[in-house]
Amino acid sequence: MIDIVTSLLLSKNLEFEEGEIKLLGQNVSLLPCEVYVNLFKVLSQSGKEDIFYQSGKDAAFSWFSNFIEVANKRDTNDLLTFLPKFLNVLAYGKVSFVKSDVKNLKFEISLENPLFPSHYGVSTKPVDLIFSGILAGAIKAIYKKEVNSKETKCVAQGFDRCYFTVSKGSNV
Amino acid sequence: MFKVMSKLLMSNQIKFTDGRLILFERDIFFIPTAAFVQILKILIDTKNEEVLYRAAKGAGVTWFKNMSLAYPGMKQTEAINWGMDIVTLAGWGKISLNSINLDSKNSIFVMTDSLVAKLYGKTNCSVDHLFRGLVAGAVSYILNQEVDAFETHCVAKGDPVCRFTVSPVK
Repeated sequence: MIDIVTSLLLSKNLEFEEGEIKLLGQNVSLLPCEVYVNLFKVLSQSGKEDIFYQSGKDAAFSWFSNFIEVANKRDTNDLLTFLPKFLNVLAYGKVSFVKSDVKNLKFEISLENPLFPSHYGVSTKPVDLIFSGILAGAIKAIYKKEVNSKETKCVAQGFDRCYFTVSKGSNV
Repeated sequence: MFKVMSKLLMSNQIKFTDGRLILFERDIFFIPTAAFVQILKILIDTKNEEVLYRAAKGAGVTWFKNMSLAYPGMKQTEAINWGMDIVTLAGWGKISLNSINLDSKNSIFVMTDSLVAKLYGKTNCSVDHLFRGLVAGAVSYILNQEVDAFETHCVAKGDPVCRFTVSPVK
């Protein structure tokens, strides 16, 4: 992870300025995990947890669209190779692409040592909504096609890793 | 900011490991600030902003407790200054201490360039509940007295800066 962070710093794609952090040209902030988990729990109780997915998707779409434009990166294979390295920097866990079917735009991603389940505790439903949204937004920006992401297995549900399926269309 | 990051790295207080980022032994992560603001809007609409405040306050206490363990012997004013550097590093805005009275335990903090206020847009309420909580937790720990923080001025309301009054819980 240090390698990718160093590379982002040297290429000025990660910048720490006074009071501001920019990653691929967009503002990010460091948030304590327990704060996030508390917010997730309270909004889930009111049935409003979808905001985590949607906000992650919107942000990642903006991120990657901007990056692709500014850095003039058009090769989708290069971008797909870069994506898990970038996602690892966000510190949601260790990201790997398990399966990539580019022709049909279907991807399976795993998240090892995931951050939120370790703080959330046991759940009957997946809890990595913001990460799921980020996956969808990033892949949408790379391939310029509407995709959605669904967490199919979550450590909070008792699985050993979290798994996500990203595919075309509005329903997964 | 480079100096702050270097100090943290050299004292092993910020670590990238196994897909995780750890600051003063607590998990932190990068959230797109715009995403946080979208979540904040829903929180405020559902009148749950105090949940954010209390969670951030708890995090502030824990962070500063761990920081004091990492850097023993730090004086109160040093801890406050160092704490402001850490929060500024976290990318929420630029923090400064306007005034502090160690006897009455009242203090005023100012945040310029609040990212949350800037991205939130114009509103008639203060919006920096996260920072409000963090500063309340931090000051509670440093002064060994429970305090609460109130945002009296906010850029989202049209004020030039965001201003926080911190005082002992009555």
